[in-house]
Amino acid sequence: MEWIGTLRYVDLGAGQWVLEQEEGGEMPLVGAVPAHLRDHEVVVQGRRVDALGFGRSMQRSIEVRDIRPA
Amino acid sequence: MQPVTRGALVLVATSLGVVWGAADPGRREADLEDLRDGVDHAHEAGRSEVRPSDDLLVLDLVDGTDDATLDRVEALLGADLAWFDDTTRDEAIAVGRVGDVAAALALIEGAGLPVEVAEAVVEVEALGYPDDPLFGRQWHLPAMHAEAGWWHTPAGKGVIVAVVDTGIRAVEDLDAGRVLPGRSFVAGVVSADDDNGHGTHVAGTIAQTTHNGVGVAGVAPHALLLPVKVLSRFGGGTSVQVAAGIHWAVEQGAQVINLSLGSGRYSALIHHAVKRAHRAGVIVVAAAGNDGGRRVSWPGALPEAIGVAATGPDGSPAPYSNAGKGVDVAAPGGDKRRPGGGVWQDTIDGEGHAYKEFQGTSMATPHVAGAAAALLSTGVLDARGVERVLLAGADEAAWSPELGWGRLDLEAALALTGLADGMERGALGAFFAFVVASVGGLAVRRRLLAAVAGLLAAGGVPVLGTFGGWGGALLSRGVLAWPGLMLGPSWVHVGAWLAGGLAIGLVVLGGGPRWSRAAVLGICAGVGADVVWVLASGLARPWWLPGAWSSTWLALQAVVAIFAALAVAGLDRLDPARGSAHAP
Repeated sequence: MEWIGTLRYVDLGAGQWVLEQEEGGEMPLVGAVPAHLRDHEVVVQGRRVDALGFGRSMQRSIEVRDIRPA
Repeated sequence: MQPVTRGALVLVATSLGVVWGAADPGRREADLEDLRDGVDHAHEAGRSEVRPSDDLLVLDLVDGTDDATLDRVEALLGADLAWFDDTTRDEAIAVGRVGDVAAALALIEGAGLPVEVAEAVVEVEALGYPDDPLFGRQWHLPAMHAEAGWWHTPAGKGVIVAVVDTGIRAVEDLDAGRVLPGRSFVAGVVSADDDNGHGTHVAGTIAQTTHNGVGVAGVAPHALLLPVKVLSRFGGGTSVQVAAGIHWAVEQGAQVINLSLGSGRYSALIHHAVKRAHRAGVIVVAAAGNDGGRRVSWPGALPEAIGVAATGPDGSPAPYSNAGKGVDVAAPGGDKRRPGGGVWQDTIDGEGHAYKEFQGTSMATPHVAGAAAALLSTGVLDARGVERVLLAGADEAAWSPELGWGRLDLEAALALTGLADGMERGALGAFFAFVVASVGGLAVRRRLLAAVAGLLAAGGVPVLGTFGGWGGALLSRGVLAWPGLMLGPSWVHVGAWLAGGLAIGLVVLGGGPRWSRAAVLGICAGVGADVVWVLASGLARPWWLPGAWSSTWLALQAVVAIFAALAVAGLDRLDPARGSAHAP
């Protein structure tokens, strides 16, 4: 699947990447994230997973396969 | 503390911070906070060393002096000065590094400036316990009275705390000897070594090596850490990994499990693992979650787990902390909107390590886990007892969604264990023994002997605990605490549960000879009094009896023990050898 949103860094725990969506909500990202895309609009490819983590956790996470600028 | 003295100490700290951070206002503010905290701790503990500075100057200008005047002083001295604190701005105290304090004082003297006092700053250096140089940054440890655990408990000694997280690495300030062999439940990762930094930070809050002259401190620095890696290097994990990690931790003998993780989705698998741990007498502590919402994440919301919300340096709920049903207690989790307002521990930094401030309910949770380890290590309470005193010792009178039963307070929890009540319990035992001996008509001298025996049986001699060793530990506590001290936390209530039998046994063994009767009477009465105290405190209700029966059982033990004491008095009355020893 593919999602579009803004890549945000959340300063919680040891730090966490989330995808902020236009309609609201932050989906935690699990996987390698290119830090230089921080605060940029990006396209994330991956799959939804019920992950546990230490940052934002109420929304389902995205297991990242690829991230590129939108 | 005298306001003036406190102000002077803060001034010193502040002045150092101003100069250190002159080139960077953000860093300067952070350093100021660190120094204020550090010096305050040192002074409050009465452990400080002072020395005059060579180049730091403090000026107390005429109250109300404005910035323009301070600019004139700066121009005169060719130095960068700053008001030391906004809260005392009216006092017009300024500090700064001037290079040569003596020369600066000479310049000021002849300049006709509105200066009331000018002198070299006296620097204060913290001494004593703990000597970890960055302890001053750790506002979060004094906030939950961690020092009470250092002074009044074995600080977690022998207690295994499982950190179900990203793993643990024995960084510079974490004694590798206390990190047990761990296990990874992450696919493709063999080692429980931390490859993220979160787990090591959490472990540091629980049991950072303390008073080693290095880095920072932890809540229960003698606890053993069991690394259970269930989160990947990216910080994510699955319910299967977490549940498996909890099961494994229980099998390894963990007495406390720290879960600084969560999910918005309930998992029956994790719930089953937590219930199993709970039934096995393990304390499970879990984060409330960091979404700033009105719903607590799982497993923090489980009834078998202590759900932990986060507070900032001012004690108010942290903005990210979830609130709602499932929050049991609040602990310092940090608020990095304030400089230095995070939780400071040693953790990994690439292949090395660094002292980092993190924030989150993840950081609040290990404060509670560490406190639980410290309480367990006293041998006074079992897991359920520790949970009760942790919540009962929290500082709110009523439950709230944001703070649960209040902010964690280890000192208050310790007081509830009875460790701080040895004198009171002893006094109650002495009173009971004296009354029974008087009713039994013993001579005054023997009544006093009975009272002393009652005092020792109920409260021990608390000061002996400071000498360490088995003997000291036993003699520092009442006899009802001895099974727990000798056999471990699972036995802590056995003394109270079987107090009646103990008293009867004592009468059988020592009630016969006249010379020992007063002591036996006193011990029986003291034990009976202590069971009354335990019953009133609600700390040791037998779990194997339902509802009111548990209280009834304890009351029966108290009655039997006191009747045993009266029986000894009766034996004494019937003794034809009483003779002149009769009470008038």
